[in-house]
This record gives sequence, C-alpha cells and structure tokens, in this order.
Amino acid sequence: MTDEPLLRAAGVTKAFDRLIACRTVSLELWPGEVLGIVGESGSGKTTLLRCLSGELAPSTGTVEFRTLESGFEDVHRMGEARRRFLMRAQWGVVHQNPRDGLRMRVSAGGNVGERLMAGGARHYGHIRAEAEDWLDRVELDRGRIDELPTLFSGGMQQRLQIARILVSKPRLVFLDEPTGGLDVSVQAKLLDLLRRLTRDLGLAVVIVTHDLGVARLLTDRLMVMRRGRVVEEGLTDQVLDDPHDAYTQLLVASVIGA
Amino acid sequence: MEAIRLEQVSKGFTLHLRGGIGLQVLRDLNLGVETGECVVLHGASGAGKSTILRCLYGNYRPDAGRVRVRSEAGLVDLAAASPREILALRRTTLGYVSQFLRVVPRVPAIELVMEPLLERGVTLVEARERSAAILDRLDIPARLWDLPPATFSGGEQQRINIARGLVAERPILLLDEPTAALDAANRAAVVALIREAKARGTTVVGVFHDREVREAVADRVLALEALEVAA
Repeated sequence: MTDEPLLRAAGVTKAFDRLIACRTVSLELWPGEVLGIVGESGSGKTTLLRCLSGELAPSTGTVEFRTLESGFEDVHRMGEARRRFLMRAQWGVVHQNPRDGLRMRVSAGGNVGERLMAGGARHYGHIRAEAEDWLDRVELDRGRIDELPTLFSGGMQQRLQIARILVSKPRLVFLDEPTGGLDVSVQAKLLDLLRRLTRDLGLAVVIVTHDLGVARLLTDRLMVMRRGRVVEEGLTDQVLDDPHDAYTQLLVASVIGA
Repeated sequence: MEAIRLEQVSKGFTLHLRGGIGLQVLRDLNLGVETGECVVLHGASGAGKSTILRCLYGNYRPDAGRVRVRSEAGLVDLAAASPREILALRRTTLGYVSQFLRVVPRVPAIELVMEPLLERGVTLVEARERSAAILDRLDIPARLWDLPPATFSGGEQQRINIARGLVAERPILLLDEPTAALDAANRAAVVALIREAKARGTTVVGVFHDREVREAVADRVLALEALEVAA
C-alpha cells in the first residue's frame, strides 16, 4: 500500500452553457483501488469521468495524477503532448463505444500490438505472441488475429478494446459502461479479468456504470451521483447494504439481486 | 486483552421510500470480547444480531458510538475509519461469513477460496494447497473445485463461503449462521474448524440457531431483545 493517492481531484465542476453537468466533486484514488461512479442517465457520471481522464477540461477545479517521473501533475494544465504521452503510457481509457477506442482499419492483432510498439517493443514475434495471449485472455479466437475489427460483433470489439488498453499495463484505467453491450457470460469473464488485474498489477480503476450488480462485484468504493452532485459515497457494500440517501435507497430498491 | 469493544453503539435505519419511517435496531450497546473468546449472539429475528456483525465488519455505519477492533496497529474504530482502512482491516484482521455466497460468476470454487490468501500476498502454490485442504475438510469433492459454484447446492455454496471466510486465519471471525444449510456431518466439520481457530487465539462473534453448535463453541451467550419501533 502506498501512502499517496495516484489520482486526486478537487472541486471539479463542469458547466455546458447554463447546464452544470457535475458540481464540486472531489476524490482520491489509490493504486489497486477500484472506484465506481453510479447514477442514472444524465446524472453527470460520464462528464465527471471525462474530466478525470483528461479528455474534458473542467470549468473549475483540478485533477492531478501522480506520474512515475515527477509526482503530482495537473492533468489539465500540462501540455497537450505531455497529456497524450501519459494517456498512452500510464493510463488507459476504455470507451463505451468500442469504435471510439479502436482503429477500425487496423487488424485485431495490430490494435493490441500498436500500444506495445508505442511503448518501445520492436521484436515482431514477441509483439504477436503477446497480442495472441491477450486475445486469449479476453476470450477472442486467436485465429482471427489478422481480421479487421469491423468484422467483429459489438461484444468482441469491446473485448478487443480492453485488450488494447490493458496490454501496455497502465497504472490507471477509466472505463465507461464497459459491460453495457456484452452478453452476461462475457461480462462475468471481463469482471473476473479486471478484478485479477487490479490485484496482480496494483491497477487503479475508475468505472462508470449504471449496473449496481457490476458495481457490487468489481468496485471497492462507490460514488452515487444525481443531477451533477455526489449524493452518497463510501465502501461499496456500505452504500449498497446501508444506503442513507433517499435517492440511493431508491436505486438499490429498484434492482434485482444487486 | 480485549479484541473487540463496542461502546454506546446505536444503529437505526431511515426508510425514505416508506415515508421516512425510522427503525431503531441497536441503542447504546456496550460489548467487550476478549481475545480468543467466542461470543454467541442470541435472540429473536429483528433483535439486531446480524446488525452487530455487520457493524463489526464495517458494512453498516453506526449512527453513534465506537466499534473498536484490535488490529496489528492497535485498536481501530471502524465507525470512524476511512474506506481504505476498513478494506485493510478486512484483509488482515476481520473474517466474515455471511449467509449467502455472493461472488463473480464463472470463477471456479477453489479460486474463490484462494482469493483472501492471494490478497494477503500468499503465493499461488501455497494458496492452492491451503484452499484444497479446507475444501477437503468441508467435504467438497475435488471434482467440484474447478467449477464455479453457481450450480452447487445451497449447502455446498455455504461451505465454499465458510472456506473463504476461514482459510486466511484472520484473528477475528464474524459468523452469521454459517451452519444454517448444513447436515449434521458438515456442521460437525464446521464446529471443529471453529474450535481449532479458537485454539489458535482467534476471537469469534457468531450467530448460530442450532443449539448443539452454540453449546459446542460458545464461551458466552449474549441475549438480545428487539427494540420497539421508533416513530
């Protein structure tokens, strides 16, 4: 366990014209910790995630990431080149729509191998072997390594996107509704994979989901958002088993078997 | 030396979906448990037995009072601890066996049992050996070990749950009716495991409806009565 968080956000607010999508959100995330952000559509959870992952600049507030080289750096004040480098090397974003996270004109193996090459790998045989290993880990047929992702189903594309992100062993991963379009069986496999990786690699994860069952099994801590505000937060089992806020009680009461 | 001390603990629930009805379960509860002691909570349903166990595991947040447990770092108040501190205590100090197994689907039974050991840094080989040993003692046939427990019987699932809770030999064990779905032979196996844990100095707080089990493990029985429903 480290004494310093990996990610630190303070007073993050994002307004689009007059609409305030998320309001004064603060949080800290440690290595190996999985934080879930739950809430209904329009609650601001995806906006918050995009502010945290550097994709969207907040109107006010700061987001700091502890880099390997120089400690805490403000994600939104660093230069574009630096941010792109960090996004490739030290953290990863798994998009809700796999087409946003994949290169659709590059083969499945190429999509996975590309991030290894960006990290300095040069030996073709090693890159291919590792790409094959990752296809296995996300249960994609390694015989289809040379096919374009356009030939894959939505669920397969999502698994490929996750392999592409995790192959470079990031320290921090952002996931936006990653299991949304997947079969229940594949969803379970991915949950298991993500849990192992957080344990084995000390990976920190921020996951946005509206599925409280996924949140229960995957996350350590939970933030419940409504209308741009965090209405309740705490250990995941505390929030789900002993919800204090009226809205959280409604959410928990509305699902089956979470 | 005390392993657990509850001081003036109160816990109620406000049911917002029911017009904000208040339900008071614990009021000003005081309880000390010595290291190595086994205290059995006894009383009608609604008396707060599970609520006490959940407060001791950091699962319920008490409204008032202190819930102190002894860890490697001394006494820690769960009611005031951060989520990270509670997670650390669960890894190192607190074992909890709930009434139901709730786990990621498709994960083989033996890996579920290995998980608490791996979280504490035990090697894969040792974790597998220790998990196999406890599954064997709980009479789970080896052919089931590599299958996910979703299709297991209720009794088998409960034994996987017990194995998961006991395998890491944490110093404090919280047991919520672990023997409810078990036959006599398996109940006896669980009783033997609890007694061995006690012999190692493990502190146990549990709820056991079965009188034989209660008499076999309890050093002290704490009788609880339900509070009246507050307005």
